Amino acid sequence: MQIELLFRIAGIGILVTVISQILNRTGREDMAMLSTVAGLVIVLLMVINLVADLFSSVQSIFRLY
Amino acid sequence: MEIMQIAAFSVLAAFMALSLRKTNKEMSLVLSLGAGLVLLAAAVLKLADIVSALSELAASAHIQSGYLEMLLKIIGISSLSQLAAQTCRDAGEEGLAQKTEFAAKAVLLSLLIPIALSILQMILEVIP
Repeated sequence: MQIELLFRIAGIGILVTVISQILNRTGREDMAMLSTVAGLVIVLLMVINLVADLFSSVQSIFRLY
Repeated sequence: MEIMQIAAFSVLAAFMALSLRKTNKEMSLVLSLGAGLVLLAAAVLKLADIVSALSELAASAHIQSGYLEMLLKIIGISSLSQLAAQTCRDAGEEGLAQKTEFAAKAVLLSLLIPIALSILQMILEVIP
């Protein structure tokens, strides 16, 4: 059970939200949007490893090649 | 006990996704997707033992291994398509979910057509 992964994703989400709100308040809205997108990309990269693992184990168990 | 780990993990993930939903909807979706993937991976690992036991049973019952493989492929395809469709629904894309399920049905049909044809041939041979 990768509890750390869950906490990492939630932590990155909260961090990105805080950064984007700060950037919004100080007027740099384009940077805020950029930081949100960057946070999303980072989190998606983390999840993609999980997806690859799941698909490979499903392929081997259910013999889907 | 593993069930307690699984239950605690999923409840924790649900709370975190809920708290992220207001501020950052995409992050909440990715969080729930990641947690769902971890849970599915645990389930699939459990299923590996069951599948090997089933294949031993089928071998001792002299069923051809191709039939068990076909059954497993059907289960695998439907589980994966359900995962994808449910993720689309969580993101609010009901149309994408329906189309994913429809594509999975097409894949399943293309898998089943050879068996259906061979059954029909056998029936036609029996009928004079």
